[in-house]
Amino acid sequence: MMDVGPRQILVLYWHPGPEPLRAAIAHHLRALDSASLPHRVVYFNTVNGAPAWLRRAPFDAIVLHTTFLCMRWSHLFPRWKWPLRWLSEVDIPKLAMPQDEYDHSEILDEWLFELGVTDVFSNFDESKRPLLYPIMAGRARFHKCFTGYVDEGAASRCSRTLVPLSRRPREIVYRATKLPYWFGSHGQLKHAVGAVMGQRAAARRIPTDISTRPEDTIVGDRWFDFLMSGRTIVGCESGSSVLDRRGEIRARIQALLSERPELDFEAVSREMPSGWDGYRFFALSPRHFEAVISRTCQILVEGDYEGVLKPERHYLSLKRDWSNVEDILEQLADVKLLENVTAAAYEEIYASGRFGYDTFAREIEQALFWYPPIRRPRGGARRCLLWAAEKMAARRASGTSSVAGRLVRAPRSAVPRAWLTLRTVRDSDLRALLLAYFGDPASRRMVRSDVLLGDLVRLDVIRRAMRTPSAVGFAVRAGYDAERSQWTYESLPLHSDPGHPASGGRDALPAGAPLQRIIWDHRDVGRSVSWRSGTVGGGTIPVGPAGVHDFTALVMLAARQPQLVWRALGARENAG
Amino acid sequence: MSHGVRKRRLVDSAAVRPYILVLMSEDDGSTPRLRAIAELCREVGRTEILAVGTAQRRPEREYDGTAVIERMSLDGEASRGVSLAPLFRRATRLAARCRRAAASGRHARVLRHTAGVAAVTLAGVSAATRQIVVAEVLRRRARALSLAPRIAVCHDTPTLLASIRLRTGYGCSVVYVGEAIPRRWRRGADVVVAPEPTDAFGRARCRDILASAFTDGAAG
Repeated sequence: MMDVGPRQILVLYWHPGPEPLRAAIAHHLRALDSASLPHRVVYFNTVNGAPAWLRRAPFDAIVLHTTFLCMRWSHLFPRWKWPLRWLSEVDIPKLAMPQDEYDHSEILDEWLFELGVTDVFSNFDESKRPLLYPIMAGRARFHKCFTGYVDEGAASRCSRTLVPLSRRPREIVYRATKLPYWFGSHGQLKHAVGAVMGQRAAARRIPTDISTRPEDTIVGDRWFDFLMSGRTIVGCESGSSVLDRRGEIRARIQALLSERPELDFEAVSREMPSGWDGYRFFALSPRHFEAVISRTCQILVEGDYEGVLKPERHYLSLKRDWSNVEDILEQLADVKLLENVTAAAYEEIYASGRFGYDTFAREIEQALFWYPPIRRPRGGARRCLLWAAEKMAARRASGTSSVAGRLVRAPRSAVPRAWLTLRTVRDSDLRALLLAYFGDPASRRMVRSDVLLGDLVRLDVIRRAMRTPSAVGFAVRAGYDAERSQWTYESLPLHSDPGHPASGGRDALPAGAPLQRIIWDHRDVGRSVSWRSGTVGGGTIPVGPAGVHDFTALVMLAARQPQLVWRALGARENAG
Repeated sequence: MSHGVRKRRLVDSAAVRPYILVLMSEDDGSTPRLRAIAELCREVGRTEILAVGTAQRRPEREYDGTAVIERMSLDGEASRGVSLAPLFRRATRLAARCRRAAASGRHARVLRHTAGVAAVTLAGVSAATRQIVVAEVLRRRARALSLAPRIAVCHDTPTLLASIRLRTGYGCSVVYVGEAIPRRWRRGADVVVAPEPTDAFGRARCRDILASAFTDGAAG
């Protein structure tokens, strides 16, 4: 009988920072968290490698995330991969989630074999496997999956702030990167569809916001605001029409362009071997789901869309030769039609629940349950290793960036740390707390200085937001929950719409009130904040993987320095 | 699945997709012998060529389905110790200049001899260091290959050094193609062949030897 008990899973990913992960990638990475599964999952960032002692930790499975496997494109790949060779020595189920499998496909195939991967979650069906995975095709179990799924959190946020189609200021919106030539003619289509629609719409004086310039890229939760600013969004299937087995296509095109930078795609194509652009590695993109949950009508270049999106039912179909562009532009005036299309897509794709991350998580879980659980002798050493792995993973995940990151990592002793912090944190209440911490040996033993520093830098941002919301771009409301003994900061976006004033404020914290937890809920604004300091510059500070930060150091410090912590929290004093 | 820690599966991987690993130093594209070696290996089987060079005009990677060429820049791949190379060159030139300048004076002869010895020593150290750096760059790249090669083909001292160390890791045979190294060093190779690019008979014999080593694999 299949054992379906909780498992301990190590998820390896790669994220260099300091910017937070793009929303779609972060949701994909945290897929296992979305279904409230009972497993213990450790997310380990391998940007600086992963220590070999992890192989002794009692994990039941290792998941190699897309971002980890994407390192095969990097020129640093051989050097980066060598310290991770211990992975191939661990004899437990290994699940790989590659994407863009057509890019460096042979290197990926060989690497998966080297690592001893047991399950591959591929974006392509069986017909492509012998081509993409000549070695692994007969050696691993393959599971078909999508490049992304519907994130329930994003969907609920969208539903709260949904703007009806009739009130959206623009007819068409679009953002895409102009892909390099080695993605083939299909890669060029992403740029072309925006350019064609933009030109034709401009001729008709239809309001649009279309760009393929890198500087216009929209990241984070602002993406959904952007989507909801337009009635329709154009697009096509993601993927490529080129099979670049070992990066030779890319290298050849780069060499061609370095000699003759003026070459356009057709000229480059003539220089390439025949048939180089004749493949069809097309897939549904997470962007299609994002349009569905924001109820934005999609105008898509005709394609298969993995059988999920149906033409004229879930999207308006655009011919590849652009012959029906004018008809499509005519249809934009019919808001009722657009509403019908978005409603059908919303009901049949999102509301059906078939394409949520919890579905993906269940698929991963089923793949894991196929293997018998690992019986290990009980031992404190293994538990310690697991605990150490979790701590190290958490430290890497919450690594504050830029200046804050340097503050935390570079100083090797408390003295320069304190000096840098005093220069950074200009608020007298926070300074007083920091000085009290350094002056109290018991506090120092209890709380690590780098953790406190991270908390103080974030608290400094919150206090600025409470004083002058316009300076940081969001307001903060603070409140005390007596039942849970929890002090919560909630970030509120600053709306230009006068109907949605952001109302900051704070509750009174009764003297002597217990503090079990201090939370900063920044989800409605994003997962990071820009932070500036007059003395040492600034940077981007991640609030937390899910946009929530837990002030653990401050809570512990509150036991020793309650008055100072309350003042630092900015609570109104209430003697009663 | 034993659920523990096991050794890397090197022998398995050599059988999955057997190939010849060719290590090349000074890949400037103009040496006929190197081209001939690459062609020979291509005729025998799937070939991966790792080349270190300074000429960056050509694509860093080429692949036609049978032969993969990966070109690496010595400056980009070597350790930071390479940054000392200009210092060595400058010191060598300085020593040579001192030797010339010390033509007269009371201790001219002693100075001349001392400077001469220093110049020769520094030049030797510089050349040896370069060879070691090339060998190290090739070895570091080759050790990170996902599949173990059946045979490693080398053609000069640095590539031979790298191949010998790779043999320890991969268990592959080392085939030395060429004659320009001391006999004692050549003993490190499992097979030594000396092809002449223009000699059809020698070329055919060389191909047979390579094919034989390739078929026998690690046992070769």
